[in-house]
Amino acid sequence: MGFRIAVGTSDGVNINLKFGEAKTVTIYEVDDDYNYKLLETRNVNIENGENCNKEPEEKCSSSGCNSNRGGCGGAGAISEKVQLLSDCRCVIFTKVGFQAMKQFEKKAISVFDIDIEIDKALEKIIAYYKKVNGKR
Amino acid sequence: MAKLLDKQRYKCALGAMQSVQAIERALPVLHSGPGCAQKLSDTNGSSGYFSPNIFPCTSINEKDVVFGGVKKLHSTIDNALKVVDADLYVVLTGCIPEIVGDDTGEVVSEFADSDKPVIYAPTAGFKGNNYKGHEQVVDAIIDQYLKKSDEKEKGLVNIWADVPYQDLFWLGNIRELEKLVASLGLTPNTIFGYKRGIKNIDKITKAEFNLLVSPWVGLGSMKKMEKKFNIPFLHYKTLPIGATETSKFLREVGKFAGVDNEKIESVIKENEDYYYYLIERYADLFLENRVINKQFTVVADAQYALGITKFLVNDLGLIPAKQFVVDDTPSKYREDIKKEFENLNFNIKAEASFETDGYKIHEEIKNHDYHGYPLVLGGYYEKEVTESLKGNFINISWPVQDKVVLDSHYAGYSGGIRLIEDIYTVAVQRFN
Repeated sequence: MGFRIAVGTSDGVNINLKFGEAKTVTIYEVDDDYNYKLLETRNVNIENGENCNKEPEEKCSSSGCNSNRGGCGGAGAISEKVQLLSDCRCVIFTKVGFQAMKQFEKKAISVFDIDIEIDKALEKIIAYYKKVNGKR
Repeated sequence: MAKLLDKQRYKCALGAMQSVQAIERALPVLHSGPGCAQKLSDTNGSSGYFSPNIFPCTSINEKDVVFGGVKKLHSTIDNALKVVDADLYVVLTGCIPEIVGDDTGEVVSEFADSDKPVIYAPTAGFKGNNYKGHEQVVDAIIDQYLKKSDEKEKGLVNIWADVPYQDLFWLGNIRELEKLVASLGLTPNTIFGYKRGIKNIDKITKAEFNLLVSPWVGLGSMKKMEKKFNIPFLHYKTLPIGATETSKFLREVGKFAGVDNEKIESVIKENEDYYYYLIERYADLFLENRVINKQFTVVADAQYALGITKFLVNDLGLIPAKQFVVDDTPSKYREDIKKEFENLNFNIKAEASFETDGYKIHEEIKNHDYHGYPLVLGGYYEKEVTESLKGNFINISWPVQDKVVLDSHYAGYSGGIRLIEDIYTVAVQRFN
């Protein structure tokens, strides 16, 4: 059975977005033979209060993402964003905050925070899943 | 089909972090998943300057499995060197990085120029248990830290014994072995325990010979040192417990070191006189209580199974039932060890079984006719089965749960006396 991988990228070549700052996420689909192709670019921009839709990541880092004090770092906004990617087996961003990571883990979605080219990352991750699935 | 092992008595090779911990001011740096150290550490005397809770660890996760964990390892070592003040940093690898193929040796070699020595030992669980891991740590010190020395110190003897922490009596035992060797006029050198550490490691290559007191653990390291540093070794297979074996031990070590025979015999006489004085005073106790335990069984690693069997037969005159060696002894050593079990006084032979499965051991204990109440010396796992047979139980091997051991020991003349005290304390409690 195939699966989907969510990638945080602004240029379609490199993984260069943090989860918090990504307004769109690129989704790749992997078929039964472990070949991947670009599926879509999904809009994940969650409007959450007026003071938060601009540069949410910056705001996060200054006020502390784990504080659950609402705003952009609030658990509600995060879980909504995570929900939008709940059909994926794993997500790849340069950085994923602690709250978001927990939310993904709850849904059994693996999180990879790494800063390399998309193709290289997908190759390695797919090879890994191939082994995990016991298909060679 | 997967096999289940009931009541295992050892840990994975990464358990060798306890061997590193036993070296004063040596710090294990773990390249492993989070939780490995927590699971492997015993609470028996493992706190101190470094405790398992503060061992630097890469805590690798799924991401490192996919993309490799060498970067994380590099930063972990780098920061350990900055933050933790130790004399020796020993990187230990767990299963995950070795399966994934992280080149730990390569990363560690990048720290060759650091002020403090950084070495690494491959201790993935699939390579064996912590007895094997212990050897890997000693081998790592030999291969990566020690340099050949032309200078020899006269009378200097390196003493190697069984695995620290796995053997709860390790500290007391090795100190007692030191005392025995010193009584022959030799200078003992050990690396484990209080006030030993790196300065004693530095002396290893200056020794005249290595003395290994263990049925098999560490034999590989001894051969390695013989080859690499030209240090001969004496392999004394039995942990000397009580007068018979300890006197034999002193004679053999003395002969190997070229100690004057008169000197050896005078040391033995002095020790034996006191030993038998103590035994004599309690002769009636031993006689009266003999009837309650005609036969005994030891369930322990090779060193205790062999050492205690010899002691109980040769010194106390008890009859061995089946003995169980539970440390998963490599098959190449088994024949030799079996022969040792058959080499007892009064032409008595003990049958040794290399069995790691607790269920099978317990079934055999239950089905054996001990001609009365059994005496079982083993791990805590044997307590229940012994009680169900109304036998006498003493907890001497891992896991130890009903005993607190700080520096007491079973090795040597005094160790034999300790063991007699422990056995007969249990015996008299029965009646009083």
